Amino acid sequence: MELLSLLAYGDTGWGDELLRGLGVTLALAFTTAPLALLFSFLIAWGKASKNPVLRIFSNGYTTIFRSLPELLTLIIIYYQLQSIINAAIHLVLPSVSISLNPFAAGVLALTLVFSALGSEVVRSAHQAVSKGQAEAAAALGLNRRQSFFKIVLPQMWRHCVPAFGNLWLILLKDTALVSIIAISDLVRYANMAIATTKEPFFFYSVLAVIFIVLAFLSSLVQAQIERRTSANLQGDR
Amino acid sequence: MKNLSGLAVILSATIATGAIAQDTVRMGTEGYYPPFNYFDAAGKVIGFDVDIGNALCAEMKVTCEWVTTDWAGIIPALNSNKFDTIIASMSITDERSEVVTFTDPYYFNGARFIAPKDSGMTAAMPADLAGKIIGTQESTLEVEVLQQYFPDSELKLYPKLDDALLDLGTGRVDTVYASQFVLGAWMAKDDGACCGFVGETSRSDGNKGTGIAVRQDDAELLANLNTALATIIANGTYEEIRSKYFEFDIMTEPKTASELFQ
Amino acid sequence: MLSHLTDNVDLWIEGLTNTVSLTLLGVIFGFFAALPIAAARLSKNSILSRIAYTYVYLVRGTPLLVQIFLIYYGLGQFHSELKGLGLWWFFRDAFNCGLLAFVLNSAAYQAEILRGGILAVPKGAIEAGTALGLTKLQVFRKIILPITIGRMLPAFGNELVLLLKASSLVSIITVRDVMGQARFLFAQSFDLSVYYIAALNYLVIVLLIEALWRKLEGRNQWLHYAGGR
Repeated sequence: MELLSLLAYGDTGWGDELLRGLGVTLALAFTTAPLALLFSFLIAWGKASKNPVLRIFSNGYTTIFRSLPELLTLIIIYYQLQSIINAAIHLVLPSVSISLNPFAAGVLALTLVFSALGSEVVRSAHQAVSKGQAEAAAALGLNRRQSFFKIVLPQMWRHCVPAFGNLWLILLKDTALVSIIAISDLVRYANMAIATTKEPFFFYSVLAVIFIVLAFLSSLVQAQIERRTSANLQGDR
Repeated sequence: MKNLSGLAVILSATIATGAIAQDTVRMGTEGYYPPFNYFDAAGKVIGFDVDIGNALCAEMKVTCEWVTTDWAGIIPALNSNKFDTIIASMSITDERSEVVTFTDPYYFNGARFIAPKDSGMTAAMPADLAGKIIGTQESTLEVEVLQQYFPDSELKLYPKLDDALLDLGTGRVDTVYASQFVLGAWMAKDDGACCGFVGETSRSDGNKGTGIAVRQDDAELLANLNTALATIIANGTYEEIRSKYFEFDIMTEPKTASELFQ
Repeated sequence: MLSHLTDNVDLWIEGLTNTVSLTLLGVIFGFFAALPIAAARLSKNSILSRIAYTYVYLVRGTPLLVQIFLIYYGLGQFHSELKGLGLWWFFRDAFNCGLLAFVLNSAAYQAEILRGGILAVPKGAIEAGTALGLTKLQVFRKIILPITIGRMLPAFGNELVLLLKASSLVSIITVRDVMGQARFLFAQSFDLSVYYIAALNYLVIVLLIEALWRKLEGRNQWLHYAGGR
C-alpha cells in the first residue's frame, strides 16, 4: 500500500509533519481546558451574583458566545483583539506595538467560547446539589467560602464531570477550526500534504482516525474520573 | 502575580519599535502559491518570493524571518504587526494602497484561464464562458476582473488556489482563472498534464504590478526595500533568481482586462 | 458599518437563505435518518446495534470540518467512479455536499437524543398500551412518540442551534452562506464590521429559535409524563 508510505517519518513522508500538527492541536486543547474551566466557574458565579450588572454581563457573555459559530468567534477575536491591544498600548507607549501570537489568540477565543458553555454546566451542577447541604454548612458555622469549597464544590464534581467530558471532546474537535486562520495544527499540515500529494481522501481519513483515537483515550480517562468522583455517592439523596 | 506572568506568556511577542532599525525583518507570505511561495517536504516555505526576499535581506544586511498566514487575512495580519512585510505575489492596487504601502514592482503577474484539454474550450472571452463555472482564489484581483467582465458566468471562490485546482480536476469548475506562472508551474507537474491555457494573459485594470507591502507608517523599511530591490536588479542577482524559476521574462506588463475583455 | 449591510442587502439575503435552508434541511433530513439509527441502537440484534453504535461513535468523534472535507474533496477524488454510478451530479455541488455532511452528522446526534428519550419512557405506559391490545407500531406512534417528543424538545432545540452554528463551515467549501458573504465582503474592504454584521445575523436567528422553542415547550407541557420515576 504505497499510500501508507506517505505517512513516513522524515523528508519522504508527511508523518513527522502530522505529528507536529498533532502536538499543536493537543497543546491548544490542553492550554485552553484549564483556563476555560476557571472562567466557567467565574462566569457561573457572576450569573448567581446579587449584583445586577454582573448578572447581565455574565448572561450576555454566555448568550453571545453560545450563539455565534466558533469559526466566526475565532476570526473576530484574532483580528479585533490585536487592534484593541495595539490601541491600548499606543495610549501609553506610542511607538511600541505588541503582537498577539496566533496560538495565544486561538487559546483565548476557544477559552471564551468554552467558558460560556462551561458556565451553564457549572450552574446546573450547582443547582443539582441540594440546598440543604449549604444550609447545614452554615448551621455548622462554616463561612460561605468554606461552605463552597469544602462542602458544595466536591459534590458538584459528580454532576459536572460527564458534561465537562463532553465539552472536552467538543474542544478537541473545535481546535481543527484554527487551521482556517493561521495556526499550523493537524488540519493545516494535512492540507499541505494534500496540496503536494493530491490524496485528499487518504489524508482526511487519517485525520479522522487520529481524532477517533483521541476521543477514545479521552473517554477512558473520563470513565476513571467519573469513577472517582462518584465514590461517595451514598450520603446525598 | 500568577496572572501577570501568565499575561506575559500570552502576549509572547515581538515588541517592535517602528523608528529603530531592526536586525530581523519578519517576512509574511502564504505558502500555497507555487512557484512563488510554497512548502518543501520539511515544511519550510520556499519559492521565487522567498528567494527575492532573502536577497533583499542580504542586501539590507538584516536577517529574514519567514512567517506564513492565510491569504484572506494577510493584510490585516501585516497591520496588526504579526510581520513587517508581505512578499506573497501581492498585486499593487489603489484599494490596497489605502491600507498598506507598496514598494516598486518586482515582477508583473498576469492571469490566464486554464481548462481540461478535452473540454473543447478554445476561447476565453466573456461570451464563450457564459453559463460556465469559473474557479479562482478568494480575495484576489482575479475575483474583481471576473465580477466585472464575466457577469454571465458562475464564480466559485476558494480559500486556496489548490482547492480550486482540485475542483478543476473533478469537474466542479469548468475553468480556473489565476496567475499564468502559478498555473504554468502546476501544469508542468503530472496532475496538471490534464489541462492547457485558453485565451490570452491579462491583468486587472488596477493592477500596477506585483510589489512588497509594508505598513503605512514604516517609511524607513519601504525606502530600504526599494533601494535593495533596485540594487539586486542592477547587479544581476534578480536575473539569477528569475532564471532559476522562469525561462522567460516576467517584467513585461500584460494587457489589462479592459483592453482584452471589453 | 451599516453601509456594508445596506449596500449589499442582496448578498446578505442570499447568505441567510443558504444558512437557514442548510440548517433546516439538515435537521429535518437528519431526524428522518436518525429514526432507523436509533431503532438499530435499541434493537435486540447485536450486529445491528453495534453497527449503529460504531456509526454514532465515528461521527461524534471526528470534527465536522474533517467530515465536510472528506465528503467534498475526499469523495471528489473519486469523481470518475461516481460519474460511472450516475451520482456525480449530486456531489458536484458544494451545497449538496455540505448538506449531506450535516444530515449524516445530525442524524448521529439526533439518534442519541431519540434513544435517550425512548429509554426514559416508563415501562408501565408501554405495558399498558400492549395490555390494551395496541400493536407495537401503534404503541410507538400513540404512546412512546408523544411522550418522548415533548421530553426531547429542549434537546432538539439545542441541536437546531448547534447545526446553525456548524453551517458556517460550508463557507470553506465555496458555499455563500452568511459566513461566506462575510468572508467575501471582508476581502474587498478589510473592514472587520462585516464580521460583526454576520455575528448579528446569527445572534438574531438563535434568539428567534430560542423564543420559538419556549413557545413550543410551553404548549407541550402536558406531554411531560406526570407519572412516577
